[in-house]
Amino acid sequence: MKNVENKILKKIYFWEARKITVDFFLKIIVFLSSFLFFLILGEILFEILKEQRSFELLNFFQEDFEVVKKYFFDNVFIFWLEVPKFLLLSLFLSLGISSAVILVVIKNFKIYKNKIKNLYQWFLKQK
Amino acid sequence: MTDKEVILKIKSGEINYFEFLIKKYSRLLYQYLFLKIKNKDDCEDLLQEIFFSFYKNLSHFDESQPVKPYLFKIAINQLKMFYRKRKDFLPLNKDIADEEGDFAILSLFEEEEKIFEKLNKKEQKVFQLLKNGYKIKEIAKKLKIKENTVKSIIRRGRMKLKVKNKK
Repeated sequence: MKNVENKILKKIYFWEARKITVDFFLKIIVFLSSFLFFLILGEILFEILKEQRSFELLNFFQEDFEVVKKYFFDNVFIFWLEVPKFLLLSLFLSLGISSAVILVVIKNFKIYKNKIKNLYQWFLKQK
Repeated sequence: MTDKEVILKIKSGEINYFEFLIKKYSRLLYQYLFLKIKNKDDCEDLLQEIFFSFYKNLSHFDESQPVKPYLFKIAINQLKMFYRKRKDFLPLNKDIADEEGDFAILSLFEEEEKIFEKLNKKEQKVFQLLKNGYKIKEIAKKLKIKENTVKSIIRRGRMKLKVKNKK
């Protein structure tokens, strides 16, 4: 019976080790690709806005408070109209994905830590 | 330590606690399986599958529920699968091992013509074709039926022959 129990444990530990490795790599790949996508899209969006001179619309923030108050909605609305929407949406989407991955890792950090610790101890015991 | 505490520990990543559950229930499950299939190796394989399947589904398991009935439910399902799998390879006797090698049955028929007569017409036709060296695929094509139907007919024939042989 002891032998069978060890076989079951071995099967479970190997499965868990494989699962954690795959999970870890998938998360890294998703995070890196979405973050890279975010940086590229950010750069493109910035260049487009710079070319359109859309940032000049925001210069009124340097004026007096009264002026800012008066033109705030108009300028922001025009700025919003000039921004490429699809690019902005993709930018937020990629930022959302990379943040979600980070949040999931932070949330499950204790579980990952315990699992890795247990797996390490078990593999050491097997040697 | 209660089962609930152990499950919570495992869910929090301390997988070494699963050993506790294995030690607690393996003997009981093994006895149950042995009563059903009476084969040590098959019992051990099934026991492995049961605990492995339990571990894989542990994240969905409600820790407030008792573990034992859940494990037995898995055991029953595994047994069903085991029987289903074994049914596909139900041999007539030791000499007959594979589906393609059904010529062995036919030598028996030659010896016992009466048994052959007791098969229904369709079964007789299939076995006759087998005797003539046809493969399952060819029989299916010739009789315009599905391959699986041919296999079922052969299986039924085998079972009938097995019953007759016992008698």
